[in-house]
Amino acid sequence: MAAWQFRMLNPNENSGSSISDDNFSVEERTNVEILVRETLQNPLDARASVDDQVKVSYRVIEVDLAQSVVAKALFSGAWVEHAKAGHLLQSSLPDKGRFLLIEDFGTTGLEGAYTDSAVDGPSENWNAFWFREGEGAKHARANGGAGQGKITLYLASEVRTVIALTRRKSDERELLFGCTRFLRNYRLNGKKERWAKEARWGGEPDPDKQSIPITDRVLIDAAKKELRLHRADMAGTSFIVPLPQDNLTEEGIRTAVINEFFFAISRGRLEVTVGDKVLDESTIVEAAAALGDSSRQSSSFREFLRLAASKSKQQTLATVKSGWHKTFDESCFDPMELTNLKDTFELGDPVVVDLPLAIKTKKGEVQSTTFRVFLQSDEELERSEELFIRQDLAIDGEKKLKSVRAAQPVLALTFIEDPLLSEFLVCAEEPTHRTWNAQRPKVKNAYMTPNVFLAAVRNAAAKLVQLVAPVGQRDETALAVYFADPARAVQVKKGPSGDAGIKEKPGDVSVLTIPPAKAKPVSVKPQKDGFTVRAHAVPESTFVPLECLVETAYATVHGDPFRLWDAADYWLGDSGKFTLDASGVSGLVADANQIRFRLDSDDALVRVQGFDENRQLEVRLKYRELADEADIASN
Amino acid sequence: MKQISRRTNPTGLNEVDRRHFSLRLNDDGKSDRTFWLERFDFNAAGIPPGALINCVATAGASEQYFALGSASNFSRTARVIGEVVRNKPVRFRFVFHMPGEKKLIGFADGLRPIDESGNLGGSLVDIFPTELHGPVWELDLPVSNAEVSAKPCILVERSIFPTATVAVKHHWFVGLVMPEVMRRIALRIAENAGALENDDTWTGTWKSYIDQLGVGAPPDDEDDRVDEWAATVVRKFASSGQLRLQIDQLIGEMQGEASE
Repeated sequence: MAAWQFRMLNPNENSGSSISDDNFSVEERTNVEILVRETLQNPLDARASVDDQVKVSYRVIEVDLAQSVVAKALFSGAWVEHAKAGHLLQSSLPDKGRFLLIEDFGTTGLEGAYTDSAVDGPSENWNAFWFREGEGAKHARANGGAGQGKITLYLASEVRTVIALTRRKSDERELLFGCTRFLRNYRLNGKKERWAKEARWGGEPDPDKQSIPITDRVLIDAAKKELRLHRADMAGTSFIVPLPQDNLTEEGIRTAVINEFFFAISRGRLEVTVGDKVLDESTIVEAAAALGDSSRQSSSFREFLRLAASKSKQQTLATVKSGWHKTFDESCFDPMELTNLKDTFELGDPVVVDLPLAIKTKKGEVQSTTFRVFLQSDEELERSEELFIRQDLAIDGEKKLKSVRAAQPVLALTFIEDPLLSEFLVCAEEPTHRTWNAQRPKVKNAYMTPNVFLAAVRNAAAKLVQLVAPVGQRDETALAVYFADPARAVQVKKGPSGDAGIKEKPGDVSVLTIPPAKAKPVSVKPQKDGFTVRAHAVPESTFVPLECLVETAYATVHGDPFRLWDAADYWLGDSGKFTLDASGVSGLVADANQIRFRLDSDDALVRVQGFDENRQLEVRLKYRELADEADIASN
Repeated sequence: MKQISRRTNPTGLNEVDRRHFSLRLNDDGKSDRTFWLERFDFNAAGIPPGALINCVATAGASEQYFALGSASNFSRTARVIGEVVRNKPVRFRFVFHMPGEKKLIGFADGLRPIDESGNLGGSLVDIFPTELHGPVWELDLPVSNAEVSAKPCILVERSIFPTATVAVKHHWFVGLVMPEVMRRIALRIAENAGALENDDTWTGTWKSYIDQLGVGAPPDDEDDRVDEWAATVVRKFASSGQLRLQIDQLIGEMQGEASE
């Protein structure tokens, strides 16, 4: 037999609304993702053996409620009356209703006492699931632990109702049980009595007695058949969510599974079937690629996670020396290992490092733990991506690479599998399991300086990136256009330096007297509108006649002014414009821009005037002493 | 034959020594080259402060003329050299005349830019594209007494500016960010009296740069005057070189002129 227990509150009991709902309503996640996260986490914790693969199946089926034995037993007249009073049901039940089925295999089922809700203990899963809130039966290192995750199943149902058929590994018993969790305490129409928020569906109708599961074979077999459960004789639990929220579809669930458990599935730890599609080690990559924009992770990061999953059991490239969490620098590595890490990272290959961490409990016990960090650089990425995975659960609210200024985007995975370290982290987890908080009472009460150890785990990947990443490409010249360093102008090297030879010390070198300049026998003196060429007597030397050629041209900005002279500039033969005064000179001829003459005495001169007074004039005098020729001839 | 050469100077034209000039040339090999007169010591050159500076850029037989304003307040804005050939080195001639007069009072010929290749060499500020997770840019500014090898570094969000060059060529980024960078650097320099004279710290490397701006030494520790000095530095900075050109282009863009 099956019956609902609706319990009337006694006058001294408080009434109000459910508070644990709120813990799951502020996440940056859809209700589908929250449900998937919580419903996969539970079977992962309840796996029969640590290394067993857990299989979970999600299906959405439609059931003819009028014809279904289970539906009629579940949605009894009393339940409909209370559901309407508690605002779970606005009108009559539909003829056909959807059911979300979540079945896990390879797990232990809901073990423990099922006839006495007072029994507590680490393996009392039955009582923890049906009779506890805010505390679970799980050992702390299990993925759950806060005992609040079960509310997500109720939230998934429009009528906040969950039933479950569990087959226990220990005694192979099959137990069927259900519960409706009202939003708040309620009153039946026209009555003043307050009713409890929880109503249980089981084998005991008297609300004053211990609620017990249904063991009626007829109803259990009907449930298996009508709901097309895959349970058969396999241990585990089939959770049944009647009238699930509209957006709980198989497609949405499949997307959520891939997004939330890609790593666990890639590791082969989990196989999830959604509808008729299997997500396992061999299909997850293709299924994730098909998500397109719905994927929360980039294809590069998924590939990185897949690679990390394959290496999760392999040897690391390096192990950090203990004590690293106090000062994480190059001294924490063997020099060869660090060089290897840097080279590997720079090549874009995955870097795998183990980090030992000794944590201390309040009881004074020092627990030696370790965790692993995977890193890979990829310059093709738009941004860095990171993930923390504690056992198989992604703690995706933790983001620490933001503080790292790497030249290239980095993919990072911090993977905690150590049971003791996991236990510590679970204690620090917020109920949503998306972030850690060292201030949570559970961790503060159990561990010494939890903030130190938590910071070590959180910051390990970021610090490791800073150690192994090549120094960023800091450009030291790009801004020279605005902040040019006057002291560092580019030195243009003209030609090869050649062999400088061996420089010898000069030693004692006698100082040579620089001889006085030898006086020239002729000079050119510029004037305002011309110039004067004058002969001079040179001391201790006999003057000899000088044959002279004077070339003139107005100065030019570019090029050889003498070659650029043009007749349109001036013509020295123009006696109307130019004045040529000569004394002691013979053979004077002015033509074009040249004057030829011979200075016959040491006081001879030629003065030329008439040039443009606003222009500079280039004057070039070429001369030779005629005595030279005479001497040569006489020799 | 022996030879004597002379040049007459009927107008008393002053040939200015090249060392009184600092010329900059920017050439990325793609867009037009730009140049700007970074420094001209008119006092040392013997040129009256009111004299006008004209510049002739030449390369081979091609020339381009630029009027740069007065000797004491010349334009430091980068000018595009678009009319001279690229396959010859650029040389510059400067000529000076008084306003309203045609007569040249001085000239300097054959000037080469400090960075003749167009590669401007070292910078006093580095730039580093990286992930900033929100901000588009940040400034890593050494403390004022940091060692001489320390340098200010502009960090830019790499998803926007994957390379330093992309940021440096972005008109809006440059126009908005560089003056603020200059202001913060100026304020940092002004934190310690005599910082520009201290060769043991990075601030000492900025002495020549600040001198070129002609803003004088930072005042002592009176806050108002420090802010005012920093503002002057920024104004001078923003009116000079490539930055002025970029800002002018932005103004043109905002006024509806076609941008490049």
